[in-house]
This record gives sequence, C-alpha cells and structure tokens, in this order.
Amino acid sequence: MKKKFIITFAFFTLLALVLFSCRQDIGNLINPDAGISITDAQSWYESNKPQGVQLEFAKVKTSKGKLYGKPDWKHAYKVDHPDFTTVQVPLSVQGAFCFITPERKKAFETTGDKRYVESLTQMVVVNDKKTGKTTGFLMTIIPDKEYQEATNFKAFYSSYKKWQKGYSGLIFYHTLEGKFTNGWRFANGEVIKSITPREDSGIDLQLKTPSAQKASASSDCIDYYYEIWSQNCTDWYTRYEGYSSYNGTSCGSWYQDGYQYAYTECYYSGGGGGSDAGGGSSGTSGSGSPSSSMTAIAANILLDSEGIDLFNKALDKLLEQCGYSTMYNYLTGMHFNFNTVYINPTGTTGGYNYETGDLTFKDNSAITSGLAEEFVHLFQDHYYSGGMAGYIHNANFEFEAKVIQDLECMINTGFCPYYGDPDSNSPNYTNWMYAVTKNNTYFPSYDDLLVRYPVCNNLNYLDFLNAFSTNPAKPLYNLPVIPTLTPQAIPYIKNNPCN
Amino acid sequence: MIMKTIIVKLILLIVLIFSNTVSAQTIKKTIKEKSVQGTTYVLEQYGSEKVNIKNKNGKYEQFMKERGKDCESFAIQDQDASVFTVKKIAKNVFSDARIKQLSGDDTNNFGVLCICNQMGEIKAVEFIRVKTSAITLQEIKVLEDAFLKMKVNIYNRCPEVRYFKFTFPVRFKDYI
Repeated sequence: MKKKFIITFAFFTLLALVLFSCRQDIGNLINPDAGISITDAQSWYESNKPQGVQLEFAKVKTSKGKLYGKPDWKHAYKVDHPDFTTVQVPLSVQGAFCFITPERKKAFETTGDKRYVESLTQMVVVNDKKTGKTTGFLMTIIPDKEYQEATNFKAFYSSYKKWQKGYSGLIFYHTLEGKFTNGWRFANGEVIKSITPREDSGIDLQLKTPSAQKASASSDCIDYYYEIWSQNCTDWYTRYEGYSSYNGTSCGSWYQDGYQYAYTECYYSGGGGGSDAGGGSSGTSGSGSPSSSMTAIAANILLDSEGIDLFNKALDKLLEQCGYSTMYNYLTGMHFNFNTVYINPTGTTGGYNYETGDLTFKDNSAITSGLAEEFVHLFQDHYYSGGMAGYIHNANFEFEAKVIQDLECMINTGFCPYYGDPDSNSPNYTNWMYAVTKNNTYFPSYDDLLVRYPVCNNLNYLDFLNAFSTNPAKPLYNLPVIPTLTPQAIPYIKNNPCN
Repeated sequence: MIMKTIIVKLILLIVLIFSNTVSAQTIKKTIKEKSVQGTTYVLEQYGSEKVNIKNKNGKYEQFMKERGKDCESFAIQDQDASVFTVKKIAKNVFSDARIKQLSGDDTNNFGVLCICNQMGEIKAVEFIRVKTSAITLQEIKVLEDAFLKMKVNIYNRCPEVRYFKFTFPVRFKDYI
C-alpha cells in the first residue's frame, strides 16, 4: 500500500514538474495566435524595410560611410511577454563593428583580448498583443567591462525588456534607418540613466575632440561618447570553371571608425570659487535643451529654445499625472513618438497629423495648453487597432481626448477648463465630472461613464459625445459619431494605473 | 406548471425592459436662500445632500453672458508654479484640525466654478456639490472672499473672449 502511494505521488510530482516546465509551450498551444510568429515578423519587415538595414549610427561619420546589413532570419527567435511579443533577429553585416566603452578599449589595448571589442546589435520586431500593432528597431547591447568579466564574457543574453541577470552596461536603440533614438544605462539589472540623442544637427561629431570623454563648450557639462570600432572582412572563394567555392572569411584588425554620442552630464558649482561642489545632475533638461522625456516622445524637434523649454515644462507637468504617465510609458515602451515637432502659424492651437506623425503648434504660447490633447491623440493613434487612419474623421477620438484631459485635471486637482463640455451654460457636464470622479478621487471606467446620474440630468458619456459633436459653439468638432467605436484610451488608463 | 413558468418569464422580461427607465429617474431641484454676515447665498439642491451655492449678488451669470464665444483651447495655471494657490487659501481658511476632520470623508470635497478676465483676475465664483452638513455657509463666505482675490495665468487666451470659465476641486486630503 505504502509503495503504491509513493509511486502514485512520484508520478503526479513528475507530471506536475513536466507541466510546469512546459507551461509556456502549453500556453502557446492553447493560444497559438498570441503575438506574431517569426514568419509574420519577416513579412512585416519585407513590407516596412528601409533600403537594407543601414548601420549609419546617428550622425557619426565612419570612414566607410554606411555599413549595410540584413536580418538573419534563420537565427531569429521569438520572446513572449504578457502584453507583447518580440522577434529578435541577428544581423548579417558587411564587416564587423562594435561600440566600445573607454574601459573596454583600454582592456583590449592592454590584453589584446578581442572579446573586449564586442557589442551585439539585433533587429527587434515588437507586436502588441492587444492592438496588433507591429514596430521594428535596432537594439544594441554594450556590456560594461566588469560585467563582461563577471559573466566570463557571456554578457549578451538579454532580449528586449528581458535583461540578463544583473546586467550592467548600455542598451542603445536605433531606427531601422540607423538613427539613434534613445538608450539606457543599467547597473546591476536596474536602469540608472536614460540616454538621449543630441539635436545638434549639422555638427560633425568627429570634429569634436576624439576622446571618449570630453568637456563640451559649456565647462559645466561633459559629453560622453562611445567609440565605434570596425573590422573589414573578406570572403574567400576559389573560382573554378563554371562555379566557385567558398573558402571562409578573414577579417582584418579592429580599427576606430567613429564616435557615438551617448549622453551629457552636467555639474553645478556650489557658488563662488568655481569648483565643482558635487550635487551633480544628469540629463539634458537645461535651458533650451530637450529633456530626456521629450526626446523619447519626439523624434525631431524643430522648436526654438523658448519652445523647447515650454515643451519640457508642459510635458513634465503632464507626466506628474498618472494617466499621462501611463500613456507615456506605453508609447515610449513601444518606441512610438511624434515624428517632427514644429510651429505652424497657420494651423490650429495644436495639431497631430496621424498621416505624418507630426505635431504642430500655432505658436510657442500654444504649447502649454495644446500638448495634452495632442499627446492623447498620439496614444490613440498607436493604441487603437488600425490607428486613427482606420476611421473616418470623427468626434469619438476628439471627445475621448477631451474627457481624459478633464478627468486627469479633476483627480489631480488642477484648474480645469472642461474641454469636453458641450454646453458651458449648463451645469450638467460639471456635475457629471464630479459624479464620475467620486468628488475628484477616482478615475472612472467606461462603464462608470455610462451610468446616468440624476444630478447631471441623467446624461452619460454617449449623450455628452452626441452633444459635443453637434455643439454650434465648436464647429471644428461637428464631426460624425461612430456608434460602434467605444473608447479605448480611457479603459487603458483605468486598467494600467501608472504602469 | 408551464403556465406559471411562462408568467414568471414574462414578468422578468417586463422588468428587464423597464429597468433602464427605472434607474433614469428625474429629481426635483430645491432652491433656498440663506444669509451669513449680510451676504445672501442661493442654495440649489438636486435631491442628494449636495448643494450648489452661489452669491445672490454675484455676477457669475452676467459674466457668462458677456464672455463671448468659448475659447477653444486655453489653459489655466497658478502664477506661482511652486504652489497650488487653492491649497494655500484652504489652509488659511480652515484650521489644521478642521482640515483633518474634513479629509476623513471624500464626500466633503467640493468644486468651485470660476470666471476670470483676460488678466487672470477671478471675477466670480460658485460652489458646487457642497455637503452643507460638513461645510458651513460661514466657511463658504470666507472662501469666496479669498478666491475673489486670486489671480491665475491664462495660456493661449483667445483675444476675442472677455471671460474664461474654469473649475477647480477642493480636496481636503491634499491639504494635510
């Protein structure tokens, strides 16, 4: 009897272990459509690829000009996350290249160990499970020298948002066209610094002092660069009559091939004496410089220094509020951003063009009041399945964006103009706002917004939407209402509080 | 037996059909006037214990009529970015003990409707969804006087608009 019990117990334990270890595969079997496959990623890439993956990193001028590469789909692999799936694709590059930190450069020069001259760039295709949206970019892993040594040079086992245990080093992101977008510095598995591109177009970085660390024109700040090293490789073939056979590849020596701007650290003197008195601050949020938050949400910034400062302030204020912070995290996590930000004097206060991704303001003074709404539109465009282009120009998107602004204002106790109010002479919308936010303490669900409260004349979200779309005082928004288009940004904020 | 089942189902169906109508009730608006220190306030009550309060001689409605068309996309911020003026005012009007007492129940929060001119000067206020069992009319008067001295910054103000309407919440737990 005892023996039978032990056998049965062992069998079920074994079964449980097998099931546990295979839970992801089982999950995939149950839900095989979750995320995209490698084939889907390849199809997406074929439809969206630039003319070859161009590894012309940032504005760096390498001696050879552009390095061309192509995805090596045979070695691609899929990584599943709760909200998205990634397909990581190694690159097959003409020659070899790497980003090298000053410490690793020194170690290579001292020891001659080529493993110090290694970084890993892969293409990442990300598919959002909810919206089905797919995007792609290049990700480069540049481990610190110490981390390389601590892992016995096995420092490249990170994939997008699944970082190797205790990872220390840099992660760079570039567009598929090779433009540097942003990056992160890790220490012991934690992000400790964001890295933003510098918008000093027209300046050849090679003209700056070719040192890994160099004082900038402002004596209080230091620009950090990482060197790019390259290696020329040659494939050898023996030609016979009618055919040739591959005889291997040989590569020349590593050589310094350019510089990648990494980040700027500024130090503030303690007043008097001119010495650096500690209290160092990182980032680029000084006067006229785009903050790291700004560069993460806007690819090209064509504002003057006053405009940049106003944008920085307006964005900082938005990100103090949970709902905007939630949307921001989604957008930056998926590498979605405004394309170009500029002033359009003939345009409206603020405008988001979903066809170009551009963000415009009528003038600098419109940035403070106009950013929030266009920011919500950017989120809507990327979060709604099919984006804004998938629908006729409608009042639904506009009204949802205004309600979000009003709700955020209510629960963050600001001064609220009630952008969504279809009739400012009536107290209904005001009373509705107080009712649905439970006196400024609660971000409502869409179901909450459908409740009819007597205090606001039994009107709900849909009634206000219809009134908004026909409000003669706001002809700009006299647009059709799509009855089947239910709000999606509001539920996202509700379900992802400050993620 | 079958008949009984059919009747029960029919009753359920009828209840379901009319359930939406049942919840969408209308409520009666009650209007009262009360005076404190020579100032008369109009209290409008919409069924619940929450009351909208406005100064009988206040000019909120007059400014609303005179303000011109709606300004499409303006923003209001404090003149001093480092402090929320409303908090400063609330802490002057209510003692710390009183704030602590009021902050214990979120239903004690209320809203303030404001009208300001192009200069950002507050010209009229109304109080909305005030729980009169918690907030006294005396406190409302002191708040009104203080808010009418307040000044805000307006961004992207439409030049053709004379007055701007906005609201802000009074949330006691923020003032502890």
